[in-house]
Amino acid sequence: MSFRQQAHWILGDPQSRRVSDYRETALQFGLPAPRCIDWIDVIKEGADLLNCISVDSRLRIDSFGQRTDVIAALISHGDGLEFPQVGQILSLDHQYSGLSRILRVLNDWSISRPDVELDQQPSEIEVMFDKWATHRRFATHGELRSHRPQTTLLPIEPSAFWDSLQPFVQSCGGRVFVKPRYASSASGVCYFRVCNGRQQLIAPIEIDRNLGRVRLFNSLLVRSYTSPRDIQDIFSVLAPQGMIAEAAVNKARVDGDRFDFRVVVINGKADHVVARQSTSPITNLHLGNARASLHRVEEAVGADRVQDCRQLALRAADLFPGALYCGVDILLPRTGSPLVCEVNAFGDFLPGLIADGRSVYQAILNSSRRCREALF
Amino acid sequence: MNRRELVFMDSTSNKFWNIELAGDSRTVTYGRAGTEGQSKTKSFAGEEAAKKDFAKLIAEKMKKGYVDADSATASTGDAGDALPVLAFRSILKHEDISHNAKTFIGKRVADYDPEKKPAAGGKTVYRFRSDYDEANCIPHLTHFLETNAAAEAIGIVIGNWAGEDSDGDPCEVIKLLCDKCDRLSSLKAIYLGDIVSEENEMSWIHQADVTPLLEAFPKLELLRTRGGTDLAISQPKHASLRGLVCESGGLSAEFVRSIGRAKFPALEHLELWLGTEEYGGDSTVEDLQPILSGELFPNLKYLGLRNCEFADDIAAVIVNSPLVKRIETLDLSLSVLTDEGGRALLSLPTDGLLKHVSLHYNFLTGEVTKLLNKLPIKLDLSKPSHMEEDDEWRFVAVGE
Amino acid sequence: MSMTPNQARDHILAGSSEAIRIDGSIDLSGTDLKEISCSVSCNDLNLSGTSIQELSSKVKVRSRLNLDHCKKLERLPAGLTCGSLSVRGCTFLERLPEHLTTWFLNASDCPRLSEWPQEAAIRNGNVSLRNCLEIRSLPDWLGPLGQLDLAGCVNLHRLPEGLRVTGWIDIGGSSVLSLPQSLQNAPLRWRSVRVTHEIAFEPEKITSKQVLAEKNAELRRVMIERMGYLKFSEEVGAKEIDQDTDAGGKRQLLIIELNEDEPLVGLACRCPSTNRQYFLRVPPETKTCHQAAAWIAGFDDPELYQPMIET
Repeated sequence: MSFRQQAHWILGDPQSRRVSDYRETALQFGLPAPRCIDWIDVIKEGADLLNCISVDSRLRIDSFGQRTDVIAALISHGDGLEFPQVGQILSLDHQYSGLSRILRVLNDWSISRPDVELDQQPSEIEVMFDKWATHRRFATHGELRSHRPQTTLLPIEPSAFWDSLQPFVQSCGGRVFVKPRYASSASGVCYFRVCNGRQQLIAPIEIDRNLGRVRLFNSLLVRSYTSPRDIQDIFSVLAPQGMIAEAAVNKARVDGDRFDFRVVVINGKADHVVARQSTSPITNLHLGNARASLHRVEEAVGADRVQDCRQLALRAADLFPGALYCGVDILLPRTGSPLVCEVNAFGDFLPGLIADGRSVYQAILNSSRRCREALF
Repeated sequence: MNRRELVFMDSTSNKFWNIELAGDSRTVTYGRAGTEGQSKTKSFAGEEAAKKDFAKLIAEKMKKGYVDADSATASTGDAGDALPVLAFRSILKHEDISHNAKTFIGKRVADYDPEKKPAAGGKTVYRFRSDYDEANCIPHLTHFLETNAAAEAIGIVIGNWAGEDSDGDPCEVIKLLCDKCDRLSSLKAIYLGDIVSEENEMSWIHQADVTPLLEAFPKLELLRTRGGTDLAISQPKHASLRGLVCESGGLSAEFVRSIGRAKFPALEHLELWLGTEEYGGDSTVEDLQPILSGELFPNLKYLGLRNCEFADDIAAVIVNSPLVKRIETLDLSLSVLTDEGGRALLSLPTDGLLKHVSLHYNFLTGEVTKLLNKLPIKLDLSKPSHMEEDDEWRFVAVGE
Repeated sequence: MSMTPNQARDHILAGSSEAIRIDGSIDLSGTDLKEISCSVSCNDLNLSGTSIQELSSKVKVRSRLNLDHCKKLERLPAGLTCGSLSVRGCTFLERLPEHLTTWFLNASDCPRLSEWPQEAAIRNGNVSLRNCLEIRSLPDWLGPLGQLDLAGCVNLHRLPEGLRVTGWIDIGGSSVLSLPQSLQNAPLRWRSVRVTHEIAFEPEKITSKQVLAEKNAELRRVMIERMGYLKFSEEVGAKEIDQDTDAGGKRQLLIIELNEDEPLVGLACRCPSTNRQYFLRVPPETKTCHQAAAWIAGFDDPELYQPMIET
């Protein structure tokens, strides 16, 4: 069956720009318009719903997005009882449990439907969405272990959390990132510094206290907290949802600002690279940080070091052979070799990013996992 | 007037914006200072429409903080090579607090790299800092002082001197600059403390007595510092200092009082970030009386009393002060200014020289904002987006 | 002679007659200094808590002169000129000097202060006359002022027409019943709490419904104080659930049935240090005064404003 005739399906949020952009790209290629299955339907009705997918189709599993109903459905599916308000950081653990259950169902379904070609195996997505599991996968591959920032998995029980975090911060020279195990984008990411007995926490988090109850919200404003009470409150909400800590790296700078890389590895190629430039330690693009010109970055650190970053991203992506593509976050320290930070299953939404004449979605549509597997 | 030339300068940029009206079209030329910039011409149905657009665009730019290129604020004065007052501005907007300086006195700032030959002609201002455990501040500065570029340097930026030790003070840097002051024969502007919170919290920064810098550099025109702890000017005396900017989370009452007895006859730009009591800012509006009396700095054009907990108290007193009639710009931004202070500002004199008032980042309600907007003075009443309605700046994490 | 502030201090304490001129502050607070015999010129002079009776005209303070709690202070020199004058708690002081010139005057808790100079200039800054029981009028030459604190001036009934105050006026507990035309729009305070014109001057118009709708506990307290606690509790039909006694006296746990809403339960108590009557809301399931007090103690009042830079 030829590539041109293969029907395309997306499991995603039909209202999202991700889906509409992907659809447009497919149409430009002269492909039939991809049909979208809404996450909410699969969460509620299970895998049977997927049987509408025609024989020999290709299926892209995309982000479940940010819709309140989808998030709530995932949390309930993961036996959670507390549901976040818009922007609230809550029940990430249950949200993941729900996601994970669905992904397993999808996995079973895909075995029963070998005719359907999946861009990413659900089991790989499950690992990429869990920073602990990702870390363990890196840890079992010796050659990448040395290309990771010093990392520790933190207990969820608050006092054990502190007992574990404090010596770790000391061993890292006083500066770490503490990240939610399951969240993505910059949500809940904390830069935590201990210095001369004082604590500092920089995070895109707003604390909301009402009648003695502490709630956390994702905030577009990156704030700095120094009061032990604020810091304690933030971790008391985040810790039970699962966290991981990694040593903060003295990142390289371009034009005085720090940057890191998001490399979208597609079918064994690391062409699509974005340097995310920021004045704060948190470099995620949607917090209003700029994409730095790759040219300026190469000028600043040398093209060789940027090439090293691409190479490392490729090696990291190789640990996920069941994924046609993934977004790999690479840190480049001021001196020394690059480090791989995380791998994002849905980290491919970078509108306007062109490499080798192709957008990310064009490059994805141009490759297929069947061809990739044939290479192995 | 069919042509206006405006300029804008702050810690992140230095740019120009010119507009020319010709019949039923207008041409805008804009870009980075020192470049040709780019032009855009737009035609209108008639002359009236073009005129209207001309006026509208100018008003918009002025609101953003642009000033006339030939105004007292922007002009370089008699000496020809003196720095324009506009170049003394620190940051304008709240969000810029977390950015290292991109420009200083209107010139590009770059981290000093001993591997590269420094730019000649004082075109670039170099920053010297210790990043994490790389204690480069002193070694790089020492290296720079031995180059020929040092003699041409108009400005110098000292970034985080403390590196990993958040309690480190800049005494060693000050001493090095003073010892080698003959190597810096063109130096007019020093920024001591271009430090953002990731490098060191503003309230953790340990400063020092900066008097030695005033004594070693008699031609100094601008001294800008960040950090309030231990900041002092024990001998506040300088014949040619035109700009003094002290950014902090809290300035001590003693420091504010020392400014109140200063002998800076040339001072045109004074910016004090008074801060909060929590971070050592224990001054009150009474400590500002010598400044507000108008007797102290006869040439003052800009007064910034910013990042202040008691902005309402300042507003109530400043409108009656002789000083406010004489200055061009009053800046009470980044402060806890509420309707009480806002109402007091309705009594600002409108018959003096006062042209600009910045109340960026405030706690004013729509009602008082509306009343203030009726004043025949250019007011910046903007708020950063996170101060508007709650939900708009809370973001939802997208699963990726 | 040129000396450091510390040398100047020792000099004055030693009773030396040599003139002192310094740039800076001289701090003599808490010493038992009785007089300054030499001529002094400085920026700031702190004499608070000293035994000084009279300030000599040879003492020139350019900026801040602090004479707080000088219990024996009787006289200040005619023509005294400074940036700010503070004579808080000078219990003996009856008058301010002729031709006084200052921006700021803090004369709060001066119970005998009654006489204003014929001519003087107190303007541009703030004036506090809090708890000046004998103040019966304000002079015509006063102002314009930034803020004016008249709280507790029980014998002050009216303010001069034409007085300008650009900030707030605090009239809490004074006898001022209306404001002159020139102050009609001035923001008002009632013993430091921001209040409306109605709460200050037309307390009979305050309804219990308004009180219950008010979220700020301090303002709620003032509103109840203004309308009268008895009137308030009668009007809302409060029923007592529990009562006991604490450091402030009798406490009552009251329940107020509200239509279409859960009942409002609150603790009526007096603050032991200020003796102010408060009505503090507690969760509706609260059963005893003790429970209510414990709940209140564990609850942090959210700060009104966050500092703008959380450095």
